[in-house]
Amino acid sequence: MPEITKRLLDAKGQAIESAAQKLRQLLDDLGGSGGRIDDQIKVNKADEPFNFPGGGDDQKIEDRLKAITAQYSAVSGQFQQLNAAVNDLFAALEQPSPVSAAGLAAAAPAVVDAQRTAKPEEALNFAGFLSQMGQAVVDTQRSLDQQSMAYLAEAGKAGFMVPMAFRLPKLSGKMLFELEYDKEAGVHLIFHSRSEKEIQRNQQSIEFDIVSAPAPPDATDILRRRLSLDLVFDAAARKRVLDLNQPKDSQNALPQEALDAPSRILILRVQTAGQFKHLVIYAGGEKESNVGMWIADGQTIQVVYRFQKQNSEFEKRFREFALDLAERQQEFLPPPAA
Amino acid sequence: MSLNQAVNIDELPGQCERIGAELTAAARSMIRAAAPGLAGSGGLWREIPLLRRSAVRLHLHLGKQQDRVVLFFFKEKGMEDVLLDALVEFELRPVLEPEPAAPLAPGAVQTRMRVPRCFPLDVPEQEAQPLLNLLRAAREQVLFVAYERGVIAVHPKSREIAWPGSPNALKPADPAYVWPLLAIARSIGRWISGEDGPGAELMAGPRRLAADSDFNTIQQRLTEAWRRVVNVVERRDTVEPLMDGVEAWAQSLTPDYLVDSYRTELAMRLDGAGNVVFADSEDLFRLEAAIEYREEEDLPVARVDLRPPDFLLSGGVYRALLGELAGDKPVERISRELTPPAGTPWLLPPGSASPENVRAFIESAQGSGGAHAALVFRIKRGRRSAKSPDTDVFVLTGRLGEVAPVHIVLKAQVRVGRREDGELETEILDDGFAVLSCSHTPMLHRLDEVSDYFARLFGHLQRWFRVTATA
Repeated sequence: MPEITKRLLDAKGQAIESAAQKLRQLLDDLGGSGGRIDDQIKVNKADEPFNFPGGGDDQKIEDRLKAITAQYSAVSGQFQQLNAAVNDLFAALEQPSPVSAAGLAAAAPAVVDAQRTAKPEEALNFAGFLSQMGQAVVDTQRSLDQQSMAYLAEAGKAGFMVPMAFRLPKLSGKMLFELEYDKEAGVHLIFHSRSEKEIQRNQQSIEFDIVSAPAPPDATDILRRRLSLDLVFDAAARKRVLDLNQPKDSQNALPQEALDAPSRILILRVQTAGQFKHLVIYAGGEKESNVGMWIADGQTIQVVYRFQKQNSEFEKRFREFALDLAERQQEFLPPPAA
Repeated sequence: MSLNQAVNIDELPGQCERIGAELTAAARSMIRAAAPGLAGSGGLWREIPLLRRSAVRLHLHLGKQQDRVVLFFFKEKGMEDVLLDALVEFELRPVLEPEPAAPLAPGAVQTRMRVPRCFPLDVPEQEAQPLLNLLRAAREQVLFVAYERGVIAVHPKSREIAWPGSPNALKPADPAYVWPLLAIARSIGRWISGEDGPGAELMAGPRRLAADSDFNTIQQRLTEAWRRVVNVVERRDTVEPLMDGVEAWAQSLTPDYLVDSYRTELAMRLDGAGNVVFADSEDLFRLEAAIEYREEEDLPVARVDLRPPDFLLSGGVYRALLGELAGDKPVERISRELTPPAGTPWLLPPGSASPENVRAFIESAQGSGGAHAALVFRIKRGRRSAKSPDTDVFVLTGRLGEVAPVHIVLKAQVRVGRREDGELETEILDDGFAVLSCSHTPMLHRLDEVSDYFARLFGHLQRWFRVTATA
């Protein structure tokens, strides 16, 4: 049925464009440059990177999938930054340590800056690269899911259309890399560069297949339990956390302006490995950098991110988020004791 | 980058181990990266990305610097003293329920060399002695070559050949020399086409090589690389600590991996002491070895197969060269050389060697592939830096007009390269093109270069078997 074929194609095309748009948006958010990364990374595009069920009959679909593969390659560096930021977020939630990475909020900008200043050969590794590819599979499938749902809704109305969904079962790729010797740093990996070099290095390769595997039925629940975050409104519970605050001159102390306006302090309960901890977030009202985060484990409170320490786009957005949430929580908090 | 910045071969095991570790880390990293999506509202499916297969290919070169062998990952343009190419490849595959296995210990890997079946080492005395008598040689001085009807003895030093039924040892100048030579070529064809099957297996005994010989060093490092990759990927000598939080979630979903199809290929030139031959003035004959690493009933084994590097029975270069041979100029040349001067006694009927028949002969000689197809081998390697051509020999058996089978041996200078767009480029030059032998024109007999080549090849094989293995 030609109408359905065209619709299918359009849906896939929209999904692809949507995914690409999303990536570009993320890229813009992080202030990166796709062209620069594209010059640094070359992914073999001739190896039929995507296998699509029934796709062999539809050249257009394959072409579009190849196009999105190229786009994913181009922004893979940014993907790594995002993954690193997300991973650091989880790490900060699960294993708070003021020493590691200077905390949650600083994590993303730090990664971005490192990527900007690092040589391309220092920027990537196998784990990071394959992680980006795995993320690309998941994200693309999610985009296709949206189109599937739209299609199914339309199929239900039309009556004669066969219910179906779009799947991206496998991503195959080839990673080209080189090993470079540095007198001081020793041997390290670099990815294949398009740039002309006088020295011809041996090109090494890793081919890989990434498939989408069903997660065990309870995997999502377990994950959610591990990540559960609740805002704490109960006065007694909030007091127990804030009472852990340290003397004013301690580097872990909350700022006085936060203690003067406790209803603007956000307290989130975090469940990790069966234990509850609390994240304390406060955003001030004047400077864009007035935002900080602490973690309380029942015994003590420690700073995760230093108040007024940096001034970055990430901080600005983090502060706006905290201010907004603090405003919204007012109606749930009990009135202050007389 | 110069050679003094090359990576020493000692670093190879560490590099391979690192790659194995990175890949297994990547498998978990991918799953971890999917956590935010799974924790969110999600789509139709609850899925995680799984690294189902990864295949690693490392290309290495060997160089020598101040009497020290280095294996390096780089090659400078035009470098002439690169004397060994090596390929290390392996795959990682997920396994559902891995059986517990002990770590591979250093020095535990047993090396076994397979001698091709066409070079029998245990020829019975009653069969070997008459041939040795004809050659006036001791058993250890000759190489036996099995062919379809028995065994041929080759004396690499004198280049003489003895085969069953012959009253004398054949010298290269004898017209009958071509027959055992053709039989030997077919045996080598069976060897490289894999039709021969595995031959005798010898325990590698590098006792006759100096402990610090290049060959021992290379083999030990390659083996050590396998050992360390297996141990790190299959977590045989480490216990991964239990993680916390999301990391633990990803850890629980990440499958175990095993190392599969680990093999290396080497192309090298060694002298009798097992050291790499570097200078042009030395014997530059090359040999190839493929080494497969596996565990057989809990015994780690490295299985070495030798191959002659310069023989072709299939592939793009092979087809391109035979295509060139069927071109107008070579066909006319062959036709002319196979057409007798007036009054010369000739076994081929008049008109048999017409250009049309010659072209059809070349086509028929390719047959359906396998050991009986046309055989092409390089008897002299041109210097790449000087862009000088290789010298190749073509051994063809087919139908020439109404006569079959006709055996023809040709020599040609050829250039093989790749254009900038990557396409294969082959050329057969006019100079040096010659019909060396034809089964139906006995006066055409110019096999000196071919017999020289086989003598060198067999001399090296004989030495290889002697120095790298003990029965």
